[in-house]
Amino acid sequence: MKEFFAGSLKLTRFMLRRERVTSVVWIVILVFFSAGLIPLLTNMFGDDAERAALITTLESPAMRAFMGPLFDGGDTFAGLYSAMLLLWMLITIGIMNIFLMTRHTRADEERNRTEVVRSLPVGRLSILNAAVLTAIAVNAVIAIVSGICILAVGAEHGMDFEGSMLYGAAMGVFGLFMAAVTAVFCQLCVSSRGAIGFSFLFLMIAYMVRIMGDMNVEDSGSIPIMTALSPIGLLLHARTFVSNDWLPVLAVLAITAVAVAIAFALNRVRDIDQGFISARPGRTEAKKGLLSPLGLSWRLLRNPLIAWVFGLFAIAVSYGAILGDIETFLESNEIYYTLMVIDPDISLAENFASTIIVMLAICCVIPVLIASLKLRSEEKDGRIEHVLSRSVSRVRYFGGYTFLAFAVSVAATFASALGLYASAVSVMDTPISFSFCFNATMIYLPALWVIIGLAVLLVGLIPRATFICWAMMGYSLFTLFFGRMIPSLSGWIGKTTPFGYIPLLPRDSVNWLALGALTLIAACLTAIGLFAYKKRDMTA
Amino acid sequence: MSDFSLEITNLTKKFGKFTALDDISLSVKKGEVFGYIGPNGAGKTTTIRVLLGILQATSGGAKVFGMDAWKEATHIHKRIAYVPGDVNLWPNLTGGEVIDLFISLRGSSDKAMREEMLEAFDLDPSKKCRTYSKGNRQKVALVAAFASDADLYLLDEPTSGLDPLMGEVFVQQVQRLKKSGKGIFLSSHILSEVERLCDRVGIIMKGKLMQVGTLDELKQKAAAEDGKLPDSMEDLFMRYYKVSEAV
Repeated sequence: MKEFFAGSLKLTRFMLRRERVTSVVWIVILVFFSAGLIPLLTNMFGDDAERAALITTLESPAMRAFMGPLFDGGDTFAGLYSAMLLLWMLITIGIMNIFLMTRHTRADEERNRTEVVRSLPVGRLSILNAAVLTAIAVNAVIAIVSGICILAVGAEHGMDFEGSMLYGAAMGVFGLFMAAVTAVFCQLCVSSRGAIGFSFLFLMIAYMVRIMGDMNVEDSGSIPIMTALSPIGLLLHARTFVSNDWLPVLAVLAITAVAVAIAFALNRVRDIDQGFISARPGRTEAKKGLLSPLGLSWRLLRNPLIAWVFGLFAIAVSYGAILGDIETFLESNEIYYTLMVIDPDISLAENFASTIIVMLAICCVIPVLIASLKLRSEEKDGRIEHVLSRSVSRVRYFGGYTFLAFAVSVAATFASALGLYASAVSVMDTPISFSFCFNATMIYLPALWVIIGLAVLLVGLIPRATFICWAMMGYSLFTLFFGRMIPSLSGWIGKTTPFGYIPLLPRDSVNWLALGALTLIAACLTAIGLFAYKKRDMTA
Repeated sequence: MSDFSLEITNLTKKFGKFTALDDISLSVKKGEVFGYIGPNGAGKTTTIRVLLGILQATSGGAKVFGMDAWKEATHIHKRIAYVPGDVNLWPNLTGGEVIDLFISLRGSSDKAMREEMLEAFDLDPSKKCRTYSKGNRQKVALVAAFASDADLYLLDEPTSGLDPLMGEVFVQQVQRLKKSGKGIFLSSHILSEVERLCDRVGIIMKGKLMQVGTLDELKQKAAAEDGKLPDSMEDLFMRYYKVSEAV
């Protein structure tokens, strides 16, 4: 048994060395958002009236679904703070760990680095073991540093030692949990992209399952079953800063141990470069559709893009399912009606829908970036010269990927609109109209196009910096959530991403000038990127 | 139209401060097999990448069929076939699909030739590229190149990873192309292969072109300088290697 793990510690040190930039950046960002926002928020909600308005909003079913539960009626600032932020910190650290685990296991295997390491006197399970140890180290640092920083900044605002530590621990444990889940997917899938895709899907399901548990609950002190099924839901019920319950953290830690054990067991029985999805003998000749640069691009992107379009439909359906409950809720609670609805012509359901469409639009960024950044990974993997050394111009090949990115932006937003409408029709007595779903969703296209423009620009001009696109997505998620939550902030933070310029239909009126400007910016960035790509050296 | 398949004039390529190619000039005539030899990292692949228009020259330049390698890449590529030294393929496409794709991206396709090459190189096209060994990936690139009707073949260490039997098939194919008057630019480590196939040879070391000429010319030159005729290609190679190390 011991020889299976030989050399693990040396490999761990090596992995931590490889992490010295990426993980440190993540750690700084996470710690900043977990502790750095405290002064900002205390300023914002220092006033009792403002705080009361926030509490009412957070207690509405829409916000419970979107943001998670608020415990003890938000009596303390610390409790309010964790109700607003912890969920998003969990998701962010989860995403970080998906990439971290894949990077050190399946992605290395794909690039034939694993076999070089395995030829050295290291054990069969050492790479996975080292990756798990690396994840433990990174997440422990995040947990401890966040805890300490929250305490340091928040002590004067009623954030106590135990609550701060629990808050950090919840983050660290969830990060580790997602690392373990990703480790399992890295054994099951044959490609790193497959593993990343499944892990993201898992994260989304975990988010959605907890919505069902958190939706219609009187706070009885116990954890609803549907919530307990989702590790995110479970950790939110640690009631940080309210009653500080450590049991959920320990429970998630236990599931993590099980997931790690499964990953090790799978890794032990499988061969290198193999997964558990068997490969059938393929075609001896290519179909006509493959035989063009665009055909090749489509073939390479087909599966993930189609999966994401269906995935977005599914997410939209699950969001839409909440709309029915809101109608019922409305009938008995006039207070919420008057609070939420600014324009009496617009129903609360529509107001809620327009808020969740923002989330859907940000999810659409994922397939869009997969398509627009594919060419960069082709270049990194040394496959680009096969195409460019033949009679294919750079602009034509890159243009094909760009075209697919634009096409999937339309397909993904449309699938979201359709999903929302489909479930609204089935759960609501007087369903929201299709034209509402369609307009409120498709209006995000110009913002998505700016993201495509940014991706094309970076691939064409600064290929090493393409990670900025993913950072932009995370940042947009963050700003939107804050922009919508706290109107006084949306003024400047919201306007730092393209999504901030998109009106919430039908509440806001359409600003054609802004939409036109976004489209124009997208077109310019794309054109510059394509042009720059003609001029630069290919790297291997 | 020029008489040259390719002409490189005063080509320099820098990556930051590192000079990968230092003032290289050489040319390959139509119907000539040119051997390009040198140790790892000497600049062989960089030269080929400049010829392919994948890298832009820092100064000087390269012409293929009289056209600028950087500016008119797409036109040039219609008439060349390229085999990289390190063949990375798409893991979820089959070998057969990749070969068809490569042939069709160039332009023309000759079904009979494709089958003949698959047979000659003994490659199973129904397997996913993920499952191919290095040698088999190399075969995919070779089959696609040799099944194409090009005027110039750029081959970058094309036999690395092939077994001796397949190395022999490769030599036969190059001889076939040579007979039909094609230009071939062969970068290689395998000196015996170069000796058998090439009309002229260029030796590159540390980004500098040490010598160009027929094998006999190079040997005579070395004899005139050292007073002793090199016994073999290896001797000649080692001689220039020592010269470049001494600089």
